[in-house]
Amino acid sequence: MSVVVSPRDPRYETLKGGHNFRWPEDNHDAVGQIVLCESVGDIADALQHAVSAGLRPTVRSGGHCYEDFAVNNPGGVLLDLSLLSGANRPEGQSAFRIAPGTQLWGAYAELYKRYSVTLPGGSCGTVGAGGHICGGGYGLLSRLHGLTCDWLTAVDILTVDAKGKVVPLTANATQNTDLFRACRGAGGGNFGIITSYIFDKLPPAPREIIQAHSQFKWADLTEDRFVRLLTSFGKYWETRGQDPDTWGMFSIMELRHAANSTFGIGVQFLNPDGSCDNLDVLNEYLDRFSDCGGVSTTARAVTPHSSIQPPGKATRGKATKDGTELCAGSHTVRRRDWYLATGEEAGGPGGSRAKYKSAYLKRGFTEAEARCFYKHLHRDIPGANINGSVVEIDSYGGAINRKELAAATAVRQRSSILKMQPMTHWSNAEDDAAHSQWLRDFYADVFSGPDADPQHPGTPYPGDSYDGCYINYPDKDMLAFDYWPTLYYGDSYPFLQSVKRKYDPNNIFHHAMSIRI
Amino acid sequence: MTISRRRFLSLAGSTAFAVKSGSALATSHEWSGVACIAAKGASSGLHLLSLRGPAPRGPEWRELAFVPAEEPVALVTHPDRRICYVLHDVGIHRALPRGYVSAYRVDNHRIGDRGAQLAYLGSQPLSLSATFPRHLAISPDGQSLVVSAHGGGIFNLLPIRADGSIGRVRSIRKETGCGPDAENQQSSHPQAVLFSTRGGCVVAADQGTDTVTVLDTNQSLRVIARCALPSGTGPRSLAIHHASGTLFISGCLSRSLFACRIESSSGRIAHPVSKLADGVCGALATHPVHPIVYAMTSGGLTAFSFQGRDSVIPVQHVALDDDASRAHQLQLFPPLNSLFLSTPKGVLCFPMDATTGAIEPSSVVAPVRGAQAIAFFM
Repeated sequence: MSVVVSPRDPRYETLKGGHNFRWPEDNHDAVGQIVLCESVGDIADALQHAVSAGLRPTVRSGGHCYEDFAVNNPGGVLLDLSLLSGANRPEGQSAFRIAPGTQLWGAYAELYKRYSVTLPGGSCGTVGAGGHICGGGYGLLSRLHGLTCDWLTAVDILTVDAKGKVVPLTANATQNTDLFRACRGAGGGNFGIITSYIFDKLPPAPREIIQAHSQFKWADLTEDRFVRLLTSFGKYWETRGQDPDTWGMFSIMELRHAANSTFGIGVQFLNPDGSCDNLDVLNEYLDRFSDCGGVSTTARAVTPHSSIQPPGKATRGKATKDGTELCAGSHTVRRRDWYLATGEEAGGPGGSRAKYKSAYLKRGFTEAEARCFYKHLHRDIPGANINGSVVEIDSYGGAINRKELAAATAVRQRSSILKMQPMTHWSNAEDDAAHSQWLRDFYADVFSGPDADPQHPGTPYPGDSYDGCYINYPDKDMLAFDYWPTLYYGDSYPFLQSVKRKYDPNNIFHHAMSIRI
Repeated sequence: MTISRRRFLSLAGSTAFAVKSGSALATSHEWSGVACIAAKGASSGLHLLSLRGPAPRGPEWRELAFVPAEEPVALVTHPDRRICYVLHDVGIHRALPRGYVSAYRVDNHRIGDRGAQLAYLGSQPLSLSATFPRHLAISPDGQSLVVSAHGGGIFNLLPIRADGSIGRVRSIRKETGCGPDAENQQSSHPQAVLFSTRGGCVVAADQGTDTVTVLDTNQSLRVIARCALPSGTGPRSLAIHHASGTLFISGCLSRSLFACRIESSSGRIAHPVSKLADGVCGALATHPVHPIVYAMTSGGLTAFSFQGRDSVIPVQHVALDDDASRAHQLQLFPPLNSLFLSTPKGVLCFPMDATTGAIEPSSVVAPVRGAQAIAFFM
């Protein structure tokens, strides 16, 4: 039975937002109520009630949406699916089913323990399956096994028909085939509410992997050495990194702003056959960076989401999400939201104010781009502490780039060898403008160089060098360009619009970057 | 078609056409004021014109100023202030899918021709997906605006602040539904919206769902009543004849005129909805006193007389070209005793007989191309 949280409920202030503390931007944007659904029936009832009452429904699974798509819903209804969890193969069925509220770590654990399989999904354990899979969903095993949506064989989805009635559908290769294709990569909040992801098969879970980390000190790197490092990294993934014997290797270069003393390259490796005995490929890769001063370390690589501790500020006030330092008598303490603090203690990523961007690259970095990186990673903003800024560059390609999947899914980007995610994290609202501007300036500069498309400066417009942006890393700044649909969907946007018109004719499901009728 | 007073009266019936004492209809005297005309298209913006001269012959119109504005489609004026609210018929505003509303103050409108000007008071975006708004209404107390977003199938309620500027959207209603016309009724497409006389609720037409709905503006646009019209009607325009408590509805798809009873104070509408005439395709207006409804019909403007809500009699027809028949707004302005029709070629003025309501030949008083709506400040 659903749990309804209204503004008078003590849980409302915590549950009205997600992991990005910027949203909702103010009380005016906040939802009218949160409905925590415990079953598919609950979701259907809550959705019908909202539609019949003339309210806008938005949907949340893990709460990791980078933008405000779920929580900016003034007076509307937020359907929270986080209690609808589970990754299993129901009795009598051969297919695996993953509920939308399942967090990725929970999915990996259940699938591994019960069936010795896994999902080639993301590495942030509290991300919810609901938004992750339908937006593409990739992670450390994707070069070997493809995207999560590549393995999808069906979805159960609640839609709203032209008359305003909730209609449950199943979409697969033989039923509602257009909707099925759209649900494989177009992103959440577009066509309906997915209540179950169905996989006939899933890849085997590795028995073991090799982790490697190289740490670099900014102080040891001149600009030229940095350029050599970054271009070497990109060159590898453009060339050698597309050979099938390397597909078991996934590497992340985490370029922290120079206000931090170090940055690093992390690697997860296994051979395509699942073994870890022969490390030739790995060593060949790591050798490339030995001249650049990298220091191997067995220290666990930290991901941007978990490692960045934005600088706090001591102010008085009531409990805040990131923790407000208080002077309590002679001691300085932090007053924090209990739910978020407990989640963080339990190993979750916590949260912060943050801004993200993305880009697909079809080749390595040019010298001009590398120098641009160096410039901005050393750029200071007067009055702002931007040590929470980082550019994460993930290896890509491999099994993801099976060309036939471009037509079978809504993910058109099947030629990229790197996926870039520049981001910045901070604590205080008064620093919003400075951090956002740093990121905008960096991004625009990188994609306005001599190799950029002169017709589309400032963006990774699809072409020989770039292949647009990733919808699961949404960026409202891209709305400034009227070709933003091409950035995210390539040439498949008209198809997605046709699916939208057919299955959501009243545009019940909408947000700032949803498919527009 | 010019019609004699005798002929008009014989067609309409000889009762109830005496002008009531204290009516708002004009008698001959000098008029001075300004008009604001919203125009879309090549010269999208607001035209400010001065009106000066004797009625009923008609004042002289002279353009004073032009303020560029993005696709203005509807205007309403504040009941107490010289403020004009402008609705912008766009699909994107500040990079997000939505329309918006602006406020302009008319300054110095009595200080001769050169002094009048429009002062911009600010804009307010509509809610997400409230795209291509077409109509707005202001509450009688001047404290609220209601906007119908044709593209998004959404109604917005916005507060008006003490200084006349517009506050952020306070209530949102998302409508659903469809009709048999696959091209025009695939989803909800709200059109005309009117406040009840006392405020507190609005009556709204939805071309997409074939419904007329009464929404409570005191309670988050909750539905008070909903009335279904015959499938495929496509209701577009509304007009209330307050004296008789009659709501007139024109269906742009069925090209029909309907009527039902409405309680002007509460806004409650009552069945049945009666079909009165065919060939009615667009804008409507009612005479403030006489039982006459003016409607855009095939090929022109027709005056219908009615007794009750079951039938109408066409008593006068003025032929107009096709462009005029596509007029967005038909508005009766009692102080000038005239009907004004905003058409693609400009604003037409139809002076009315003060005692009968019969329409006199029209003239183009303001050749503003792409005219959508007109508002007056006297």
